[in-house]
Amino acid sequence: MPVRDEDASDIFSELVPQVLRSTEDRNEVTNRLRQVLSGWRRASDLLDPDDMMASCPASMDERDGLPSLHTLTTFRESCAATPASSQDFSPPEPCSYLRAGQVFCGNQRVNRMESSAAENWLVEIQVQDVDLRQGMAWGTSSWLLPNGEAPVETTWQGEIIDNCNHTFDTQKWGASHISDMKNWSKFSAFSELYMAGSILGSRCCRLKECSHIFMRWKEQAFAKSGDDCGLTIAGFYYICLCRQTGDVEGFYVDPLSLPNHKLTLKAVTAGAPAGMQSFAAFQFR
Amino acid sequence: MVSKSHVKRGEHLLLEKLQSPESSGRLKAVRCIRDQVIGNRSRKLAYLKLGVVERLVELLSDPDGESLIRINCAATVGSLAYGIEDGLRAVLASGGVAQLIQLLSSLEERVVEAGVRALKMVVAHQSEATQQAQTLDADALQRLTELLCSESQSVAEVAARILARCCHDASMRQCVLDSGGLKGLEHLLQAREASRQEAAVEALAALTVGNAAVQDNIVASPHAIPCLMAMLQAQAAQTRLLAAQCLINVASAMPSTSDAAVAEAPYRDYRSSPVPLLSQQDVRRAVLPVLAKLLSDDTVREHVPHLLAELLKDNKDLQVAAADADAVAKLAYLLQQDNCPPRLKGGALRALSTMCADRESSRRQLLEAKAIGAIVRSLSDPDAEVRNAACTCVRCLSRSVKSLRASLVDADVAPPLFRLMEDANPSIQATASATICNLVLDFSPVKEAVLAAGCISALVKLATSAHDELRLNAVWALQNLVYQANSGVREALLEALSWSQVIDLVCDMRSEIQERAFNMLRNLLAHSESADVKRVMEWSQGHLCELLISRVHPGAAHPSPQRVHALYSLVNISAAGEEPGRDSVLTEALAGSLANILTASDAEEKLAAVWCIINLTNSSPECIGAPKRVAMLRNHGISRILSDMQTDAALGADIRERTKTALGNLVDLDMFTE
Repeated sequence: MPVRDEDASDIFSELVPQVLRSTEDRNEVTNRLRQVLSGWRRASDLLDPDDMMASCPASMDERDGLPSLHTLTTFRESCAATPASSQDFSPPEPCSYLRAGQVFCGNQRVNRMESSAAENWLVEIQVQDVDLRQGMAWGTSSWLLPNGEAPVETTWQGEIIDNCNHTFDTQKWGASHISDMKNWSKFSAFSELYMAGSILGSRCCRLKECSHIFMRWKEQAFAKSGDDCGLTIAGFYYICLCRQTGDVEGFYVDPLSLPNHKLTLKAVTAGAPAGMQSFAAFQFR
Repeated sequence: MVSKSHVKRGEHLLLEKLQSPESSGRLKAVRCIRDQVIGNRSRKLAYLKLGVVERLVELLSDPDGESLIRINCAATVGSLAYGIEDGLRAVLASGGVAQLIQLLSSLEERVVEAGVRALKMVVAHQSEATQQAQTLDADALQRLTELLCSESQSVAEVAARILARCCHDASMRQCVLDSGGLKGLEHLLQAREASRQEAAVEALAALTVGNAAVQDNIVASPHAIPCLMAMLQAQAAQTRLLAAQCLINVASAMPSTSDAAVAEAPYRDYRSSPVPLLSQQDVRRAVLPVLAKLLSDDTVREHVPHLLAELLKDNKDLQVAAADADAVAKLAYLLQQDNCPPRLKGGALRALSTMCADRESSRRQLLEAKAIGAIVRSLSDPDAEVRNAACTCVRCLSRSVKSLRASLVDADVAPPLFRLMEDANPSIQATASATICNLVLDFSPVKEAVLAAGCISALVKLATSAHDELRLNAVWALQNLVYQANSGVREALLEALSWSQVIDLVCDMRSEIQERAFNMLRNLLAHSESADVKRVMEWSQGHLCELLISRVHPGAAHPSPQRVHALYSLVNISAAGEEPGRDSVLTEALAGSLANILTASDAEEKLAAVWCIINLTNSSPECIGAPKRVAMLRNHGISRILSDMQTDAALGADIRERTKTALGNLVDLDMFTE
């Protein structure tokens, strides 16, 4: 969830005429976008990633302390030369924090200097089911908006990056390999893997021993409110779960919405002191 | 035209003439009766009232009777039995079937043919008495089997059709096999005439149901499978359907892969053979599109879904292929038709159940086809087969993620399902209770409906059933019912279920029931407030921890899943309880068991044990007893064991990570020295 519809429509009305013209003059569109998005730390989410690749100077990434597109591409090419036979593409091992019934609490906020309290949403996310064989997770999210109304609930489906069912390449929802790499690189755990040469194409040869589990979460429907609640779930999340602590970090991506919505969650058990967990279990019959 | 009074007199007259001393008179009378009754229901009824069947059977049984009289008698008896319940009963009561079978041993072919045709009419009629008519003795079956090799192709064809209807139990099928029936059927299968081929394949389809010996024989035959495969392309839909049925029946007896087919036929020169050796998957793949097309054929559609269900059973590849061929939407459409006959409805539900049993995308397709309403309505169908199939279908759909389960709830599935839990048919009861297991999961509207319908007490009652399956389903449903349930649902369970019943369940004869009972306790304690844990402790009269700790003990040799659930129950008490709760969990006995589990048991148990230690050693300010508990664990060598585990590469990442957390807790409490 994401973002308010009015935000998205404002941006949309700003952008569409420009995007229509963009085939004629890409640089002009990019400059115009930068004006619209002034104050935003990163414009990449709003643009077609390939356009960004063409128009965005490498230094822009380096300013954020992340590897530049140029650096990433170079690394990818160098790693591709590593013999595949020596690599272990096993999926991540099971984790106590990625299981049916696990609850995460935290917030989603717009990640920029002048973000207001109204852009800081409390959220509780519950994992309903996990199928490591298929690399899938399902769950619900309950969003408490600052307007004080009843929580908005959504259902989501998650893809676990496991090298076999799902790789780092999203291949849908408007994402490209470049945009995927840019977004994954926002997680330091991913950047470390990348810098160590463990990301080969869209797969990782160290997922099994990695301290984090990477996922994509895509909201599918509003559970109680209708689609006209003024919110949109058109985008999706890049997710990174810390295996040791259960902490979750995520970035919401939707080309037509405000960028840099950052999700920060902690694994919790209601009623239990921090660090303690409770475990229920069910089986389908 | 004649008046009715004339006709009546004529019937009496003809009946009298049947006993005429002159054979020509008898023949004339029986011919006349035959001509009158064939295709004329009212005449049949009129003659049946006058007791004509008994007179005709008497004539049939006369060993010295003229052939022509016997032939015409047989035709008349067959006609009277066909389509009229009273007629069939009169033929059975007068011993007519036995007399017709006698004709099959005649030396005159025309008599044999008349006998076999009449017999076919007798066994073809669908009624309550049909089963009796179709129960032929071994001698009769043997004679019919011999007739399959008759020089008269029409006799062989009719004999095959009779066998197709009469081979309804294993002993009868074996009898036909022992008499060499397969050879005759294979011969008939290769006939040029489509009707004869169809008769052969109809008999083969009946013979091959659940009979491994017959299936092996057909698979071993050099001609049968190629003939059946060719018949999948026949013009008549009925022939294609029967060939498909036959191939589905025999497929399991075929080699699983083409390579295996070659390996299992070392004596066949498969390289030069014009007939390729086929695997079961080859055959099934060939049958699937044929059935998919037949779903659109009005004449045979009713029988197709049952075959489709059989074909797709336990075959994931074909289930995907069927879904790709839009089978889910087609079946859903048929199901939603107002005039959908029970057989078609039952078959469609069975096929949909098979496709949705394990495939989330098929479940979604079914949901999108808007068939949920029709499925839920079928739960109340007067036909038991349909009710059972609908219940199975709901069960398959309910094995789904929450959003899809929600659509079942929206269709108000709970009330009819609860009614089926008390269905007169135990098989439906078992399926309904199994479905409840899935539906009560974490979805409050169903849980509320369960409470409102008094279903918890029904499940508790079912948990004492003498029927193993029902007992298992009941405790399974209770286990899922309290999974992430609110305190109202938990309290309702505590009210309905006594601790002594829990003791019965955890000591049940079936280990699986014991396991589910411990899982139920685990869920009852998960995500609880300390007051909830206190309430459960009171409910158990203070015996809960004792029970759990005794089950955890490795020396007691309880199955591992039970120990895991018992351990997580203790983990949950530790997470929710106040300090006294945590202190009552960690006894000397448990500390010893934890040390044993960490050094000896399997990964699942180890993980649960480490979580138990994590929760007991948490250094939050409210955990004032943690240092004392850490000391007790240290006394049992736990910190040393954890240190070893942390670097044990053979353990899974999850256990190593949790071990690190547990050791961190010990360090936090400054007790990490031994």
